This record gives sequence, C-alpha cells and structure tokens, in this order.
Amino acid sequence: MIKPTLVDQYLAIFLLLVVGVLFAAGSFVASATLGPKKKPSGAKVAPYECGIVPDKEPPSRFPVRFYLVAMIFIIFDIEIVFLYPFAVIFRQLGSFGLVEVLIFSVVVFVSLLYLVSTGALSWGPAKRLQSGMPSRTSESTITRITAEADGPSTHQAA
Amino acid sequence: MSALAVVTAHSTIVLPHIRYLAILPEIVMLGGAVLLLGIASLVRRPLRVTVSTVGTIVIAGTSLGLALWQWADISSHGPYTAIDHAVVVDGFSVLITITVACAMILSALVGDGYLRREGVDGCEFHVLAMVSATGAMFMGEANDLIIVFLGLEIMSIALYVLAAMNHRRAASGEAALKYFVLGGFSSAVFIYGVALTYGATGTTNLTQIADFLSHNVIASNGVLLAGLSLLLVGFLFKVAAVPFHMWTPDVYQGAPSPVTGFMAAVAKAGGFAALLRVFVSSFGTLQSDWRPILYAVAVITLLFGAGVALVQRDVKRVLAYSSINHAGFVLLGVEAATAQGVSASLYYLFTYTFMTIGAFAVVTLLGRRGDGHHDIASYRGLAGRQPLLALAFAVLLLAQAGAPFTTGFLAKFQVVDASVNAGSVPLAVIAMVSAAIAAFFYLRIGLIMYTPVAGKGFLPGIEPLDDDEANAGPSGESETDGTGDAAPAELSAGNGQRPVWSGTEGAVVVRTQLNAELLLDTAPGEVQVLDPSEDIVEADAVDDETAAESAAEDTAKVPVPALAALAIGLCVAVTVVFGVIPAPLIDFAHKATLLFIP
Amino acid sequence: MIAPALLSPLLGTEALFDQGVGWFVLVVVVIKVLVAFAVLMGAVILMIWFERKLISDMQSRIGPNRAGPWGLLQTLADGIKLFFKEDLIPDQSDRFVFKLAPYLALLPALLIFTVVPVGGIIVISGHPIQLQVADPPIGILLVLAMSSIAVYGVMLAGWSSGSKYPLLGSVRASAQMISYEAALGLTVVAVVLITGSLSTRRIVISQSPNFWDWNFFRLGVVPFILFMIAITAELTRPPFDLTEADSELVGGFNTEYSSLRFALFYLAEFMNTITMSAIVVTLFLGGPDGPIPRFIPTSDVWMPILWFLIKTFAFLFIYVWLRAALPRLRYDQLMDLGWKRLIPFTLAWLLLVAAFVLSGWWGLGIALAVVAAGFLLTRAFAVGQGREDLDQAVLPPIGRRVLPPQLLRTPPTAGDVGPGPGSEGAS
Repeated sequence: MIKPTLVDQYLAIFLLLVVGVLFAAGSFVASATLGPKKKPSGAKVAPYECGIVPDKEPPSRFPVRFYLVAMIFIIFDIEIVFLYPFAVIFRQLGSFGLVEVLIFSVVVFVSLLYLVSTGALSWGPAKRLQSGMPSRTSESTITRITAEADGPSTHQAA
Repeated sequence: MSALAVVTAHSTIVLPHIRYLAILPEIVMLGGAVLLLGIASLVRRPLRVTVSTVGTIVIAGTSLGLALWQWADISSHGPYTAIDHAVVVDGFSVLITITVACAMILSALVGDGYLRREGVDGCEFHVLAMVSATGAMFMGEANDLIIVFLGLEIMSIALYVLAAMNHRRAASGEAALKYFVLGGFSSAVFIYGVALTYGATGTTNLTQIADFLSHNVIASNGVLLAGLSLLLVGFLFKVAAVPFHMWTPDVYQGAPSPVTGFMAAVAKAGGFAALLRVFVSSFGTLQSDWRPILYAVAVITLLFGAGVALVQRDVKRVLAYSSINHAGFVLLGVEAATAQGVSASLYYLFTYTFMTIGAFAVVTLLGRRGDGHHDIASYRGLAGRQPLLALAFAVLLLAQAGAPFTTGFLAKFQVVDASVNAGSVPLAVIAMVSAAIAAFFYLRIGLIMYTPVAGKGFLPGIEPLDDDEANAGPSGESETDGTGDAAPAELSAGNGQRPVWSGTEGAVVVRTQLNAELLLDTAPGEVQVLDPSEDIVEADAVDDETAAESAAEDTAKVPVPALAALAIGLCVAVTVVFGVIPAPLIDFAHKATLLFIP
Repeated sequence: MIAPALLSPLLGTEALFDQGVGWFVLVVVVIKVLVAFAVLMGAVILMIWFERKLISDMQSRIGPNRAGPWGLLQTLADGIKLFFKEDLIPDQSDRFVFKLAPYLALLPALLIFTVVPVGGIIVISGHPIQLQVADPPIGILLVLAMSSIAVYGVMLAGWSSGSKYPLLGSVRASAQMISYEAALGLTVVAVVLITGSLSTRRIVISQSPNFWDWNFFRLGVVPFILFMIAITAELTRPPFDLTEADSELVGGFNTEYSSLRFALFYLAEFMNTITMSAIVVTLFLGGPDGPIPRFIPTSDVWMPILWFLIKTFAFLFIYVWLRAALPRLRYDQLMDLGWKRLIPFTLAWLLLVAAFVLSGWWGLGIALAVVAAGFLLTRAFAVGQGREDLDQAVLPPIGRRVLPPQLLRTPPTAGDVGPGPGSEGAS
C-alpha cells in the first residue's frame, strides 16, 4: 500500500491528458497514412485569400488597442486571483474580510473608472469623424485604390 | 457514504491586530492618490494641473503632519512594531516618511510648472508620484522582507511609468523601458534573496532574523550568504551603486526632469532605508561578511561617479553621475554599520533630497518647452539673464559638492567621520578624494553659468570677445550625441577669458584664479573649433526640436513659475539654513537613530 | 497514512484515494478515464448532428438526412472523410506552432470535463467511487486555467498560419476571450464564496437538499445570467462568434487548417460547448441533483446521472437556439459589453452576495454603495464619450486613418485626421 498524497487526486486528469495526446497524435498518424501522399501544389500551400493571389505579407503590427486590452486584462485577472482565496475563507474572515475586499474593489473600481473615462476601453467608430468622412461608395473606393496605386505615401493604412 | 461527510471543522484564522495608526501616513498618501484619480475620472475636462497640485500638496502635507505626530508619539511613548511585527514605527521610519513626504511636496511644486509648460493636463503625474512615495515610505517602515519587497515594487512600478510620462519624447520611453527591464530583473534577484534568506533562517521577519542569527551559529552558511548577497544586489540596484548603476544616466537623462528629481530623492531614500534596516539591524552579526563587499562597492561607486561625471556634457547626466557619487557617500555610513553611521546616512538622505530636487527643479526650468535643453552650453550666461536662478542652482550644486555652510558639507563630514570611527580610514580618504574630483564638475557648471555669452560682456572684469570667439561660443548649442562622452569643446576659443568673477548678489563665492580654459576643457589638445553652420546641421540630424529652436531662443529668459520658484527657494533655504545652523537636523537624525529598533 | 480529517478542509479529497493508489484504484481510474473519453467523443458526434438538425428545423430546412437514420451518422461520415484529405501546411507558416496549436485547443476541452460531477457515489467492494473523473481540491480553478490555455490554441493557430484572415481572427479571438475571462472569473468567485470550497463536488453538495438551494436561486439569478453571457463569449459561440465571422474572416483562426487538424479544432469547439454546459449545470443548477430522488442522501445510481444529462442537454439546446435566433455583435459592442457592463456588474454582485451572507445591514450598505458606484460609472462613461468627441482620448478610435484629402467631400479641419497610432490599424 502506497501512502496517499494529494497528488493522487490528479492521476485521472493526467491519464486523460495522456489519452488526449495519444488520440490527437494517433489521428495525425492515421491521417498521414490514409491521406494523399503527393506533394501539394504551390497554390495549395499559399495563404488563402479567397482566390486573390497574396501580394502583401500579413501585418506584423496590430492596433495598439489589442495590447492595451491584454494589459488591462492582467489588472483584472490579478484582482480575481486575490478574490479566490478570500472567497474560500470568507466565512471565517467575517466582516474584516469583507471590508478588506471592499477596499480592494474600490481601488480596482477607480482604475476602471479611469480607464473608461480616458476612453481606453472605447472601440467604437469616432462619432465626430463620421460627419467629415465620405460615405463609402464604389466611386470613392475606386478613387482610393487608384490613389494607393499612384502614391502609397499618401495612404498609410495597410 | 461516510466519505461524503466532508470535514467541516474549519481551522480558525487568527487575524493580527492591525494598528492603523502605524501606517496612517501611507494610508493617507495612497488613499489620496486613489481619490484624486477617481475625481479626475469624473470631470469632463481632464483635471486641471492646479487641482492635482493642490490636492497632492494637501495629501502629502497631511501625510507629513501625521509623520510628525508619529514622531511626537514615539518620542514620548517609544518606538513600537505593529501588524504582527510586519511594520515598525521608530525614529528611523518616521524620518524616512518625513523625507519622502517632503520630496513629494517639492516634486508636486516642480511638476506643476512642468506640466503646464508641456501642456499635459490630468492627474497622472501626481497620482503615480504619490503611489511611488507610498512605496518608499513602506520601505522605511518595513520590518519584514516581504513588506520591503512590497514597498520596493510599489515604488518602482510607479517610477517606471513616471519615467515614461512624456510620451512625446522617444528618449522618455526608452528610459522607462530600460528602467523597467533592469528594475524588474533586480526585483527578481531581490525576491530570490528573500527566499534564500527565508530558507536559511526560517523567517522573513527582520527582528526574528536578527534573533535567529544571534542565537545560532550556522556552520555552513552558504545559503544565507547567497541570500544576503542577492538582497544586496537588489538594494544596490535601486540606489544606483556601481556596478549596478548602468541604468542611472540613461534613465535620469531620458525621464522628464521633475520625475528625475523625484526619482533621485525617493528611490534613494527608500532603497537606503531598507538597506540600512535589513543589513545593520538584521544582519548585524554577519558584519564581517558584508562589510568588505560594501567597502569595495563604496570605493568604486565614489570614484566612478565622480570620474565619469567629469566628461559629461548633458547636465542631467552630470547630475545622474553625481547621484551615483552621492550613493557612494551614503554607503560609507552603511558600511560603518554603527549608530553613528546610520545617523549620518539618514542625515545625508534627508539633506540630499532637498539638494537634488532643487537642482532638478532648476534643470526642469532651463530645459525649456520640450524638456530638451540640457546641454551644458545652454547654461552659459545664465547668471546674466536670471541671476537668482543661477544663484540658487550654484548654491545647490555647491552644497552637493560639499561646500561649507551647507548641509551638503555636514552630510559628507558626518559619513566620513562615521567611517573613520568605524576604522575604515582608507575608505574615508577615498571618499574625500572623490569629493574633490566631484567638486570640479559642480564648479564647472557653476562657472559656465557665470560666464557671459560670448560677445555680450556683462560682468565687470570680462572683456568682450572678438568676432571669432563670438562665433565659437554658441557652438556648444549642438546637442550631444546622446552618450555625452564627447570632449567638451564649448570654450574652445576661450583664451581671451579673464578669471571669472561672480559677485552677483554678493553671496556666491565662485571665485577662481584658474583660467577658464584650463578648468573647462579636458586637455588643450582636444580643443576643436567647430564651425557654427556645421553644428546646426548636426543638431538637425540629432533632434528636430532643437533645430527648430533658434540660437536666440537659447539665450532667452526662461519663465519661472511661482510654485517652482517656491520649491527651489525651499530647497535652498533648507540647504543653507541648516548648513549654517546644523544642530536641529543633526539632532533629528541622531534622535531618529536612538529611537531605532534594532 | 494521513487521516482525511487531518488534511486541511480547504483541500477536498476524494475518498477513493484514502488507501493510497492500489491496483483496484488504478483500474477504477483507468476505466473512468476511458469511459469519459468515449462518452465525450460520442457526445461531440451527436452534438454536431444535433446542432445541424436543430438549426435546419428552426430555419425550415431538412438538414442532414442521408447517412444513417435521420442523418445520425453524418458527423461520423464527415470525420472519416477528413482522414482521407490532404494535410496542408502553408508555406509561410511556423510549422512547429502550426502543428502544436490543435493539441492546445483539444486538450483543455478534454480536461475541463474531468472535474464535472456526473452522478453520486457508488460503492464497489468497499471502495466509494465518485461518478466523476477526478475531484481535485482546486477543481474550479482547473476549469479557469484550462479555459485560459484554450486561448493559446486559438491564438497560436492564427498566428502560425502566416495568413491574414487567421491572424485577424486569432487576434480578435484572444482579445475577446481574455475580456470575458475576467467577467467569468468574477462570477465564479460568487459561487466559491457561497460554497467555501473550490472542489466541484463540494459545490454540488452545497446546493442540496432543496432545489431552491441551487446557486441559481441562492445567488439571485443574476450571476447565472452573467455567467451564461460570459461563457458564450468564451466559447466564441453565436452571437459572439466574431472570431470566425464567416462573412468577413472566411473561417477565422482555422482558415488555413485542413484535414484532421481542422477536424480537431471542430472537435474542440463542440467539446468545449458540452463541457461548459456541464460546468454551468454544476455551478448553478445543482449538478446531478434532481427533485425526484434526492441526490443526497440517495444511493440511486441512475437518476442523478439522468438529471445531469437532462440539464446539460437543456443548455446545449439553448446554445443552438441562440445561434439560430441572434445576429452577431459588432466588435465594439462586444468589447463594451465585456468591459463596461459585465465586469462592474459581476464585481458589484459579488460584493452584494458577500455582504448579504454576512448580515442584512452589510447588504444594505453595500447595495447603496453599489448604486452610488453605478452613478459614478455612468458619469465616467459620459466623460469618456465626451473626451473621445473632444479628441482627448488616449488613443484615436479604430478606423481613423489618413485618407488623401481629395477623397474627403468636406475638407477636414486642422487636426481632424492626424497621423497617430490608430492610423497604423490593420484594416
């Protein structure tokens, strides 16, 4: 008889992980065996762009907002990390725990207020810009494409 | 089914008694910062700088008042530890709290003018500075390595962001990134040191570590020593001691000038506070192990800081290296590891706060809009344009150099004295030599300020230069190439210069018989006569902003906002008054040390 | 030999392991794992069929009806077909990551199911066996951890493809998933708070003996609704399926995948839907608890399982229904909902729950504070909107980019459209 440890609890999870990996790997092997072996043509391994021959690399830069979201997420994720231990022992902590978490939440809430009020979480189209922008017509698109072809320097958007 | 009857007997959690009064200055500071941020988020226009500044001064003032009340409290009732011995309220911690609160008030005053000039609305500067100050206060108050780390991180993370405050300048972002990467690394090293110390002693509480070490003799204390040295690395990074100083010049130069002043004062105060408490009180029994390390670090810090500053052309870099030099001096007091040493270090930190924030306040003003005019040449003739400003700067620089009748002298004297009494005579001698070297570059800035702009003789005794020299004069306006290591050539044709007299306002004693060229140039051989037109091209390539500024603008008067003037005035006043009447401050530091809980 | 009583009550333990891992225990665990795997696979196959069939019913179509009775074997046929398809790896892809991504998508989906209590406890030769693959003490954290890892699968798949649509899909997906993960985590905290344990079985047990003890009622319905919204977004199911918005992004992050690699993503997606339905049931609807034979203290084996299946199936139906009924959200609506509505709301409700558990007065106080905070937040929205209009936002809004002036019908005023970070936005 082996001494029980808390790690035993995870035995089944580990086994399922192994089964899952084996299943996925086995499927790939089966697919490789059963599927066509011939070397795919160049068109097949080219990036898929709805039939248009790709002439530009995919952008290596994203709008900075995505990074901002990731950063802000970390703040809230850490908040959650702190809330879990509190939730587990909440009944033993009593009102002290509640007050502490309340203070903590206020700090997080204020940071949310700050983010909202500076517009860091706004994704919507700019309202004031819409009036100044042309409504998109086929004419304007053609003009734009032509302008792009003529001088890429005038149009920075990728 | 019985297995379902899960254990419900909850172990009771023993909560420590929390004495909120012990951390009230910190609570006020941090709570105030959150409040300010909240208010700023709810007004439609970004919060006016005035509101932020007033709010910050009120909050930091309250914090200062509470710290003084704590001082009165512990003077009558004695120091105590609180919150399960995690924080300690003694003279030492209160002095650090006071120092940081003062630094916060002064920085708010300086920052006000800067933010207006740069057109930055909003409360971010003030809020972040207050958060950072809270961290430094916690470092002074910590009686547990975890709290030290907490304070260190609160302080540093806010400082990283502050360094990037001026997002219009690429240098600012670069500085912040450097500071962040290296700072994060040093924090990791520090926390690893905490882990090893915990492994060796079984506790993170500083008092308990001291107890453990005094009652146990560890035969093989490799783990402990490793932990000790990692802790030391973490601290030395924060206080910018050589060889962990690499970030300092770049960060000081790139960060917005008020932030630099704040950073220099607060990060040093916090870092040294924790360093002193951890090493002198907890690891006191291991003195023979860590004192030689600090000895060596102090020697190279002193010499390196003073030596490299000599060849800098950017005033902010000069001040950065000078801060490294100052760190070396404070290390003298730490290395002494005596009550006198602690007292001297505390005194040094307190007075240095005023000297450095004042100096950076002047640098902020002279940086002009864009915060870019930090070349030493743009200081030329300042005394003619704005004599009071030049005077104040000269006094602050002289104080940093250790001139008598300033607190700077007393500070240097005390640490050297402590070092001698602790038996480190060679170290003390090296410190004095480095002070002599450092005096050279402080005087150099002073001299340039009191040198007229070529062609406009305005001081008695200085003959107008002829045309060639007049052309050569402003050549120094070219920005440095960023490294600042180029040989200074701004007074290339200064043969016509007479000994400089600076008798304005009758207070400054910059009087030297040295030929200006001898003083300002490294060697006659390196003198280059630069063609002014060439310089403009160079400046163009280096910095668009600079190119846009005309030479005439460089010699124009800079506006001095009232609050910044107040801050500079306060700094000068503290530096001079307590230099002339030394007793109160020295007693203060002395008493703080007496109330120190080992 | 550690008596279970000595182990911290915070670390729930499964009674099966009280005697250590012997042969019997090992066999039981292996059987559990294999059964769970087989059931999940079968469930996925049925689910795909069910979704297609139900959607087609709702759209007055016939749907799959050729392979097997009512088209039941359609999914199987599709799966087998994919085995025989060409396995393409795009030229510009990062091959290692491209191959790794399907694993990262599939495994979390599989592992989340391990902590779901499916039924009560059966006793075989003196060993109590929980009808649940594993009951680790941190059960619910495992769910959150795995759902975080699932983001990697999506993100890496899109990034490694070296193609535009997958990249856009994956960036969107990761932003969306992390946005809603915050709200998700906060709702689960409320459940943990009222249970006092992270173990899923404890959570289920604490929801007995009456059905009004279910967290659905105990926590006041709102967390359940919030959780459903968050989990739907987390699964990137309609109406939150922006990551594979077919009309704009072809197929989203998995556009470049073919053959079995594509099949695995599909598998993972549906497996996630099933396991997350089971998690909802566990957290809010008492898991295998049912009104007729009580889960506790019943020794009945089948009824709890039946209840569990019925409840889970109900949620699967709801997911399909949502897909058929609701149009897709716009991206800014999605982000606004996640950040500006869900997160404050869940935080507020969590505090309310905590306060009311403590005492009514606390609850009243917090309720007032929450109302006040709501006003502050509304004000902050207004301020944020105002600043955006005044060109004082931190970042220029997406979609603002430099256009040649001749394209603008009304000439822009100075500083109207200036170059800024947003101008580099990927279109």
